[in-house]
Amino acid sequence: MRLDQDTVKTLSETYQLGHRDEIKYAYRSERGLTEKLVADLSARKNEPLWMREYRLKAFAVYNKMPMPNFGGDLSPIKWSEIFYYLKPTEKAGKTWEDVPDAIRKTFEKIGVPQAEREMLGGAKVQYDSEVIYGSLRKNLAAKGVVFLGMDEGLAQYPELVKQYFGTIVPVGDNKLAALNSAVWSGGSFIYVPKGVEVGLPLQAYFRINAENAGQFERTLIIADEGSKVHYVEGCSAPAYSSGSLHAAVVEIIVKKGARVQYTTVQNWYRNVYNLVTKRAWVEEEGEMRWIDGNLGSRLTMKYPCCVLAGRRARGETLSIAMAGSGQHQDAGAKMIHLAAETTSQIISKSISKNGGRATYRGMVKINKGAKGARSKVVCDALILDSRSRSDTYPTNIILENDVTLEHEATVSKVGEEQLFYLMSRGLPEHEAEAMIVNGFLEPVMKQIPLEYAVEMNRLVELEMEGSVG
Amino acid sequence: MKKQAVVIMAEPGKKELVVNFDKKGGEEEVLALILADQPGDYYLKILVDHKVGNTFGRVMVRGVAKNGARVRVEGMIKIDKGANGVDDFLEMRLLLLDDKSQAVAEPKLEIETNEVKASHAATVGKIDEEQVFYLTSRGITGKEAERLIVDGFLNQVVDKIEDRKVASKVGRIRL
Amino acid sequence: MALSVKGLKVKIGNKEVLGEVSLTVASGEVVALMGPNGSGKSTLAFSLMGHPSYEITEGNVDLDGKDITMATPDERGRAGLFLAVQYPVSIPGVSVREALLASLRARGELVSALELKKRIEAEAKELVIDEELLKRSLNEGFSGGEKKKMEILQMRILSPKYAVLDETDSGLDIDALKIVATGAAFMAKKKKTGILVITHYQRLLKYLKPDRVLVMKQGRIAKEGGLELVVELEKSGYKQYE
Repeated sequence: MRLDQDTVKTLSETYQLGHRDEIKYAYRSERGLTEKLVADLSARKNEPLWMREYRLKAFAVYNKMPMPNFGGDLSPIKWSEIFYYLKPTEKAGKTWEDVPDAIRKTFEKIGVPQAEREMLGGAKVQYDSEVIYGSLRKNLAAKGVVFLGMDEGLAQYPELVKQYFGTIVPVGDNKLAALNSAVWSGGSFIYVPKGVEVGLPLQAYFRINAENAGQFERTLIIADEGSKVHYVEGCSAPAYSSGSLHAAVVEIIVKKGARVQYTTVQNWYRNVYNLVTKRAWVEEEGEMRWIDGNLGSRLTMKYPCCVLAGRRARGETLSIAMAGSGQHQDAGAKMIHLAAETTSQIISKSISKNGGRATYRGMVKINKGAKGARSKVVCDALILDSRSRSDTYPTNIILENDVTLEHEATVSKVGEEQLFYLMSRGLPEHEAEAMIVNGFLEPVMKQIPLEYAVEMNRLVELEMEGSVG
Repeated sequence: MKKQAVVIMAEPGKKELVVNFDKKGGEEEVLALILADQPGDYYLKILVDHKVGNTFGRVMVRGVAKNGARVRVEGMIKIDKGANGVDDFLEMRLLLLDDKSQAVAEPKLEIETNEVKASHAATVGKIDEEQVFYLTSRGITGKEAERLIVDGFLNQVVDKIEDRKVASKVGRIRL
Repeated sequence: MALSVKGLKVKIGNKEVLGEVSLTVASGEVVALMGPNGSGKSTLAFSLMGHPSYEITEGNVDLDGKDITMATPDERGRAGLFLAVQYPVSIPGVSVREALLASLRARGELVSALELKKRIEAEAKELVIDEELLKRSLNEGFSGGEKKKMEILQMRILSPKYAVLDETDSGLDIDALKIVATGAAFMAKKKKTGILVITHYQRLLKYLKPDRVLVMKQGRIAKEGGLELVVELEKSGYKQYE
């Protein structure tokens, strides 16, 4: 995959200029977080009383809880200076050129009418996501699939939201989750009815508006029995966040026999603290798969979790983390086996270079009674130079004896023999290195849908070339 | 010249071992056995710290637990900045012999340079049923087959002890 | 005197994998069991040996008049049945000598460790097995051929009444194949071991000549015959048995 010149230009300029959308803000809260602000926020959104009370309760919990005592260095975050709520007057317009290839290809798949396509392709200067979004919604509505922003979801399906919101990641789970519970805004709400298979990945990008690129997104996905859905968060386009804190919460309920995949291909700008709580509850024979690509950001702390609550439930987390200069990726996975014959797999591939630090932090817990449970963890780290660092902190808690747990980790550098081999076939050194790095990431890459895999590969190549700082 | 540290835990409690590599060319192997057959907590903590390069380390831990024993093994390989040319491998394998035993396995790594060969492996589980079938199909009773397998499992560590005196003290494990 | 299987039906979980198999192997007889992949050959082998994953739902297995249908694997082993598996599992820390010593003592044979060691070494020489392997953990790091030869070595020491060889020829080069076949043929002729040799190819049968040939198809015995059946299979393959 060769990068085309335009993409390279756009991406490098974006970073060098510190590009940001010109956004007018209708309302910008004062800095810092107060109870009044939380209440105002809820009122402004016209939320039901129970949600306002939920937020206020969360705020109280947030104040009482200590910061996490593991992971990266959170001390530089100036909590009192963050804008906790921003709402734009206009939707952030994007030109057709800004739309990543992956999205453009998808338009064809969802059957955007010819006329609209032409309109978007030529005459229309501003790309309005609402047009695309409208087409997609019609498609899904026919199957009974609900795909809305979280705010709209709460407004249109309050009972459904109330039933599940906060049940997988409760308010007191950790301080950042409490914060999110108090000031959440934006995110996705998805409900897939029994037996329905959504053939196309649902993407947050389709709902582009400033809130989507916001800091405290809350996503809730409910996959009813036997259903199948794939959700893709973010896209490879560089995500600049004026607020430097991204504390999202994702809750997923996988009901009996349902299959859910959640793919994140995100490339946060260098100033962002990306602290996310992601957890799925998997019922009997259900399958959950987290595909997590962590590039960019100053500090990422993310440990997608599967609670395997029903017999034969299966959980997988495949993650790629790349830490460059001044970056710390503290990522991993958690698998909790509550029921018998549950299986889990964690594959973590990390790369650190230019003084970056990549940390794998994981937990596998197999409870008493989870007979026949099996878990396999593979974490491989590639350290590209002598200035960079890699850590592995796994915890495996086994409370049942009729189980199998296997864990392996390897740390290495790019092999000299491999480099020599490829160079002797005519490849310049940096290309040979990039090829080897790609090969290293391949086991996870091949699980990412093709369009996104191509984007991910481009990003990795860019990072390797060092054109991004 | 390779040094060996042999650790045997046969009583509940905590045992901590630190191996510091502060001279180039150092070679050290840690062999640990945990025979946990009493109710209680057995905690083995091992830290191997490569402060300088061109050092060679190996850690091999084998443990069996039964009768309500709770075994926790924490093994960390640390390779400091500038410690190039380190070769280290940590392995911990725990067998849970009955439904009253539990284990926590924490194999950790902190690597600050890239000219290294470092890896670790951990397994926790019960006796492999295929191994039991194989041996019983040769006429050996189920209990005897399990005994052979557990002894063999632990003896993999014992067989590596180079000092004759220590080896004979540990003896061929007979559980 | 025979190993006799009557109307055997076997299932794994909810799936029936053998649907009514009947066959006999008399003392000293060599019976070849052939068939395409998935026809149930290995399933039959494991079922005869009482592997816990395979559930016998109907029929019975008789060894010299003794009903072993519900017996545990070790009871069958002590009764005189031997299974040379297709994929021998490794037993870390246990050498072949220790395993054989335990097997012999389990059936009441009082043999000294030293005496056994000598017998094993003699067999190893005949089977062209490197002495080094005798000291190592059984099957650990062994090549395919070495594992198969080690199975035959164990069979020779244990001298069973009936032996099931499950695809013992797969992955062997021609020299190893000849050795394995000769070893088994010797057992049949001199020790009167009844042998059920399961194989996919007829290569092995050139050196271990069967008295009868059975062909399996989809969990049942589809055809029975003599050596001419082998020739036929060599010519037309397994298509009609799939």
